[in-house]
Amino acid sequence: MDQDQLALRVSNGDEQAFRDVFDMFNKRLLYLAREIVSDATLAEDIVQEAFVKLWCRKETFDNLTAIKAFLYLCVKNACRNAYKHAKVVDKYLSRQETPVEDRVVLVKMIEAEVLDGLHQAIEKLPNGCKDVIYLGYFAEMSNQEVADALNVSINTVKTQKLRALRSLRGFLKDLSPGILLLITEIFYR
Amino acid sequence: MIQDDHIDFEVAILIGKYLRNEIRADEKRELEAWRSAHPDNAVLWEKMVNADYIGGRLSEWPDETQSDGLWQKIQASTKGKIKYPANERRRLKLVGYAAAALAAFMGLGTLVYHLGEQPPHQYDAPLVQTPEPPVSPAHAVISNVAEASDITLIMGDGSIVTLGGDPESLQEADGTRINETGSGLTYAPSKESTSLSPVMNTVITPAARTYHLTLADGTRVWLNAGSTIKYPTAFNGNERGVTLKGEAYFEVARDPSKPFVVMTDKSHIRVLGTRFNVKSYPQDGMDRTALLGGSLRVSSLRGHHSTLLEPGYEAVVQEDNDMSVSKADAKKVLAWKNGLFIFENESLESLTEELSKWYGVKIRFGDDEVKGYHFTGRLQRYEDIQFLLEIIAETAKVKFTLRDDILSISKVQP
Repeated sequence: MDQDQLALRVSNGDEQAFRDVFDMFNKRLLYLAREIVSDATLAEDIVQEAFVKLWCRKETFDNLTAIKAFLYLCVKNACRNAYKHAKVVDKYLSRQETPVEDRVVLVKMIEAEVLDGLHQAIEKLPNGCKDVIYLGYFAEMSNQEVADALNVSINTVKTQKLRALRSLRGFLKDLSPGILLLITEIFYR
Repeated sequence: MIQDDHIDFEVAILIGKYLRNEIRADEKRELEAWRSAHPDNAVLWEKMVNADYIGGRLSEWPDETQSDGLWQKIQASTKGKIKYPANERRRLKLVGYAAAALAAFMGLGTLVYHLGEQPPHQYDAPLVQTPEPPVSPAHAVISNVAEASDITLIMGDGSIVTLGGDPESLQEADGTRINETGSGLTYAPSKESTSLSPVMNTVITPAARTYHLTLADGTRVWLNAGSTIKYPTAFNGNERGVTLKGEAYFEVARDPSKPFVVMTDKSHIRVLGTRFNVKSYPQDGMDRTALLGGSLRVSSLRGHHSTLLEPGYEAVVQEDNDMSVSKADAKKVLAWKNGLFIFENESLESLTEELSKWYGVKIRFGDDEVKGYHFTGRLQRYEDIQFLLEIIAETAKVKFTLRDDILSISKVQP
């Protein structure tokens, strides 16, 4: 299998393969860590550490799922440790008695996985569409602001939104009502 | 402490498949099993199919610059001598984790059961056993043609279009363009549309589905489940009139020269430009009009009552055309629009009435005592009633049995 080939290359010390694995997983891990520790710098440290650990033990992995699980667990454990540490520091939090529950983290992991899939779907859109979606939706700009930012006419923005709507729909086939709403929102803003 | 280190990657894949509608029947069952295995799973599930939530989360997604910066750092620590970042290096800033994250997880889907507590109920719906509500002509037509689970548009010439599917563009006889996005309709009147007899359109929602409309004047309408709205494709007269059965929230585009009028079978609501919610289900036996901004005049149709409503208040028009005004809780009024049920010290009887409206089931109590159980809490309007019933059953000694659209409720014997 292609993916396990990648794992093998990593275990043989192939740096390009390591970079590919990094590209594949770093965003989900960053997302997860940030969600749990609510501190961007700390989250980056945690993810960095996970990849460094992976590189140190690269020989022990023969498939990609194992690598993925390893990275997630590193992040999860580091978050828990960070939390425990912070708990001692912060009296208020220690009074609350709200440990980083495995369930909460587990659920966040699944969320990170699903979001990653959606994000990849959006990434596959043609460039013009993507810009419009990123500015219009993620940066919450109005059609006019997007038009100004991209130096195009407002009609172009509208057309691109429509195109994005169509291609995203094509990609996601028959959408569930929820995601449909999201796309409609993008379309309307 | 025993750690559960199993990560459910399979579930994430299944959810992804569900969102892309590529899921097989057996996988769907697997997903259902996962969903009902734990309340947290169900909460996550509801989030994953909620567009607002997903949109918000995706905007938090790490971007390329962050990834690149991180890669530089990783390279720096793996090149040369590989060293773990020393533990002290992780200077901990405050971890503001607790409140927000946990609140997000616990906030929804919790329900408090008030044992034995039965405070006076201020405005309980009169317990009159109303016969089957009269069926409007529109409903009569629909039942033959469309699936009961479809959102339906009846066009001016009587043709029927199923909404909520693929985006499409329709054209009315008067030239009006109607764009459907899958979750809403937008009307763009043609410039020549000055036909004297207005072309009327009707949208009908089934149980458990809502829909959104942007009318020709720019007024936005959110239509709740089990509702019907009738409106012209262009507002040519000196009034903008629509007819409503069921519940809708309006954000009326301001036009002082052309009042916007909502007609129900009991009330007549007249505004210039404002935000308000009208609840007029036949089975309720009363109309509730709640004003959220601007000003509005409600009149009872057959009586001669009329009142100018202030924001934050609601007018109740009873079956006998008696009218009263009371304070409205905006959060509760708009809960349906935000996909929530909000119950505050609500008896099981009125709670299940609400459920029966949304899910289109009939309620049968096997025991009068349970009717008086009271609940407080917020619940998502799950597509599937079964799940919601489980949550309620978890908090009280009540047993639900759903068979052929009849929900039987009985007491669990200790």
